[in-house]
Amino acid sequence: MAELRQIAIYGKGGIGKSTTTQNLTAGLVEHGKKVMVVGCDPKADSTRLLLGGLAQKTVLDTIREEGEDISLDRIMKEGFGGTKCVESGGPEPGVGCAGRGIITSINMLENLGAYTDDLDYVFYDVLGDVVCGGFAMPIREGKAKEIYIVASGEMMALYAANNISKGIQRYARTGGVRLGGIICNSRNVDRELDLLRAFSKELGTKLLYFVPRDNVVQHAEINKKTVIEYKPDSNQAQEYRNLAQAVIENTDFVIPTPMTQERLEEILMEYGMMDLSDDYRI
Amino acid sequence: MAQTYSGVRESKPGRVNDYGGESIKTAEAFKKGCLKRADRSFAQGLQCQQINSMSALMSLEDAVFIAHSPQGCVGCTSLAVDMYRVGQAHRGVKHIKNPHIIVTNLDQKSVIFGGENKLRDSVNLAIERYNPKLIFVFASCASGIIGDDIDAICSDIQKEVEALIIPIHCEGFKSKICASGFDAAFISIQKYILKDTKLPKDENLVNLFAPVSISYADQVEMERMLGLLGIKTNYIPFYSNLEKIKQIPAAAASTSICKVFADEFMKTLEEKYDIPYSHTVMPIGIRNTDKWFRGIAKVMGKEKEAEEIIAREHERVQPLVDKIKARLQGKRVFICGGTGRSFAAAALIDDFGMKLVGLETPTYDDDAQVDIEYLNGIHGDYVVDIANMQPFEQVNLVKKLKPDVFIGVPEWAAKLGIPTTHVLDMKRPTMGYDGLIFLGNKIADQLSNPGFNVKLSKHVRLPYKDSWYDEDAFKYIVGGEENV
Repeated sequence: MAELRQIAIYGKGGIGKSTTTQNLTAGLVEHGKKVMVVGCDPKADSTRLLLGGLAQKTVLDTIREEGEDISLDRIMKEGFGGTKCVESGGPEPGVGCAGRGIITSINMLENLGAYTDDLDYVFYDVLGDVVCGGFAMPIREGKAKEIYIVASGEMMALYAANNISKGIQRYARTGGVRLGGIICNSRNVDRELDLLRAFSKELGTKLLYFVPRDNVVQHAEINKKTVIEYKPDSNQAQEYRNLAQAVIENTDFVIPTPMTQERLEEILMEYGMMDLSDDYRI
Repeated sequence: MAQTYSGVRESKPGRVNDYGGESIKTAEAFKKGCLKRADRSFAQGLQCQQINSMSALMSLEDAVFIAHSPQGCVGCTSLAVDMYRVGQAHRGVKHIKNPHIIVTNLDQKSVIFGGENKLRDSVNLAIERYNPKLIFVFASCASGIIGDDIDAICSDIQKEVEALIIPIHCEGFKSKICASGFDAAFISIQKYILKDTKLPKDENLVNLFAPVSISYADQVEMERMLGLLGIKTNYIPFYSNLEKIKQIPAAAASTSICKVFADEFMKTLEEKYDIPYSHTVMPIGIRNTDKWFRGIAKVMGKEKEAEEIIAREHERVQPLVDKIKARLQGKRVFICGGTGRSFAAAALIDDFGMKLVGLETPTYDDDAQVDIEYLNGIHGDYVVDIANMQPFEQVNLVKKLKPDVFIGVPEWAAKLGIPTTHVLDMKRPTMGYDGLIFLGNKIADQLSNPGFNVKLSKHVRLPYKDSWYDEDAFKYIVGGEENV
């Protein structure tokens, strides 16, 4: 069988990492792939669509309440199409150290033998930004070797993507981690596709896939489902299948070349601000 | 708003931790501002602020010391506990006590979820179990990184209890200069106990700040000397209590036995309570004892009396010093101690006509410059190692320099078979006019009978490869080259 591909998904908070990851996972499942999704966010909402709700107990909650002597089935639940779902969880907002929590959870998963041989993919869905060492845990030695950054044509999303690339570059020097590309989760910004292509090129990578904006995603989320499960015949479901195909076929893995703030702003000016016909008034 | 001292010694310019070189070149480089802060690419264990903050206060009566840390962070306290017990014995305490130390035992879970509840429980336990007057809460690296709000917890519990609860920000990673730990303790004493409250002045009272390493004999000698000037001493914080600490603002002046202990605090006392201070040297050796004594006498306006006393004391001890000098004249010495003590001890050897070949001290700063210029004048060139111990450098140097005598912290040199004399054992006299005689005789006795160390060297091997002794002792000091 093929080698396990461990993939980390990063991107600005609220950009749609969890939504994209779960829909992508559903697409992969349709291709017959065995997938595990590890949510690395204290909010523990990375597997909601696959599980049909926030029913899961997180690794850290379990450790907190039951100690470290736990079995795998206490923390791993099966979701859509046989996906394995784990949520790292974390402390209450404002206390403790969520980064250390992620390190502990992932170590716990390894110790409990979660990485079984039948798995084709493991996804780490990581909180907004790489704020400290703990949030880089999924891309440290021996973990995810592929990273996709979810972005949109909005400035702050690109700013975050560039920043994350700095972290990837740092870890790429010592470990095997590489950037597989940018996934655009469209916000319908002007010339978004061109901007994302130019941005990706500047980073030394490619725009892996452009996921258009579609309200069906919202409807599916309200129904606690992925689009593929909720409306398998919709256009958007096909988009996610295409994204899954793009991930399966992707062989371009690079060490990113993050840009300076000035260069990033130049690109934004070139693509984002060409047509200033809007006349904002308050 | 005026700047507030953070308690991190590195925040003041001209303090160097990592350096090695010849003394004359060192002094010249520092003078020109060319001695840059460096680092060691390899280093052996250092002290941290937390342990220094703890040891600074651990002999206070009716106090509980809570380390908000993993267990290991209080490992070093066993040393302080030993000193405290010996200190009590010397002071004639019949029922010797251990200090009350509680560690909150931050573990993996506490680090992830926050350790604040453990701290709350520990403070409550401290009150229930010991009903103390003082509870000190010491931050640690772990609690500092996860951002546990120790201040909020202390002030919250404070509303309901009588004992003073005092948080101390001594996170170990903040500074490499161990004296920063003392500063953190004093900053909290000012903030939570003294609180800018001025007291009526007692014109004869002097705050005498003393680090933990001062033996009882030295305390007695200091108090005797100040007593000759008609001065009452408030000896703090060692073996003192809340009442004595509260008396600090009532003093007419302050001085310290150590140059890096309470020096920053004495500045604060001058600013906030109009208490002038004398910051000179550690009173080891005749010259330094004179200097220290004159310093505080001047602040108290008793210079004339001091000169008379100094003359009398000289007359008394000089013949004894001369006797020792006859035994020690010309012997080559390597010195290693704390920041104040190493320089002070170097001055002492001049009393005995000895020759300085090497000096190890944790920090180089403006105060060190004054001392080193003085020592350069007497001894010419010798090797300076700015190191917080770093035994691998020390033994390398000692093997190369082959001194006749080693004075200071002797753990490693003793294993090389060299006669050693401890000046930091915290138990025996080293200071003032009387201490000098004791110390001098001790050095001379070691020289005439080095049997123990010689035997030790035959049975104990230091952990370094032979090849290390051929290397440059300062091989691992990187950066900071002086651009003279």
